[in-house]
Amino acid sequence: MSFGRILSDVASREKRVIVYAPDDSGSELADVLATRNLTIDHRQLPAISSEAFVIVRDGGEFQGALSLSDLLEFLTPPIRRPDDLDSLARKHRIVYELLDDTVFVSLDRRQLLATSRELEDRAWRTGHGRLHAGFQRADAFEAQATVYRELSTTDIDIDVYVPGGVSGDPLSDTPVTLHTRDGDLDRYWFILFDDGETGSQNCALIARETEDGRYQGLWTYNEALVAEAFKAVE
Amino acid sequence: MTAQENQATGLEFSPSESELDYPPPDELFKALASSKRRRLLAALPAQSTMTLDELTDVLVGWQSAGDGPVGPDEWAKVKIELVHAHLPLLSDVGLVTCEDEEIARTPYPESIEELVEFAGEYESTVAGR
Repeated sequence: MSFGRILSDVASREKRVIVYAPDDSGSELADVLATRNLTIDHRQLPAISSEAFVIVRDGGEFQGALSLSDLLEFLTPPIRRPDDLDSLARKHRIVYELLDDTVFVSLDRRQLLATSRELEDRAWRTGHGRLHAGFQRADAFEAQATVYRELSTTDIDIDVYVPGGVSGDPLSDTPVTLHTRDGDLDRYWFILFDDGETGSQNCALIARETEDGRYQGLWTYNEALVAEAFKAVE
Repeated sequence: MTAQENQATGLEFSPSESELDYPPPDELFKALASSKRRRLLAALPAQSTMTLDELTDVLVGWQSAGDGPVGPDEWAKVKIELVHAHLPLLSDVGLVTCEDEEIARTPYPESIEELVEFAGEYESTVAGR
């Protein structure tokens, strides 16, 4: 299955967010989320509580609950992007899990960088497995070279894809394998991680640049989808 | 306690309401002696019903607003508590009815309505400090 097919497949799965609020707070959520497969419902909250919260359901199944302010803080740029690999707040990690398998129609680079960091952080904490990372340009790769140098000290097999290659590969002294591809994958920003064991840490980010310089994409922790994404690259 | 005795206490009980509407005080206050049950009563709309799943959503949602995100395990735990403890207790006291996972408030006499409302307000005031 190609990346394009994975995106359209996931877009057809219905996910639901229910906002409970004592007033009309949360009405901006539809704009902020800008997704293809997320339905947003609003319900009036009884006066006993002044704080709005959000319930996420996937195919009718309860996935999680969090306060509206936590969700908006997560979604509103600039998304905090920790420099070290092991410091993502638990709260943010849970929000990533709640919003997986959601096709976002308009992500900016900062949001994607923060999501990338969530996945790289997962790989780092796992310490073994396989990781494929696709960059669209050499400068994007160079900006992340430090993170990948750090990741290369683990037992993870890392493949990096940069169309057109990189002059003076900054990771030539590491076990990271650099591929200079061109073709269908060039339009995508992707990170795929397989933990090589139970699959519980498997994850993938797939995003396609749109004409306005923003991105359409998704992240997933679904093992079957991650496996499909690996097939598209390998 | 008869309606006449109620009147004699000076509390604002309406003597026209039948005795059946008034649960024994110990049972009533026991029903209100739990944060989950106070929130549950506050969450139920006066005019319509809620499903068990919706009620569970609201209870874990309030919990998440105070304590951070809540996942499916905690949700399932809260639902089980509702089914096996809180709803039977409230139903025995006559404050709610449960039919086919549809939960509804029974019409309360005014004094109980005020008490439940006060319990809810007190809850949110203390929680917000």
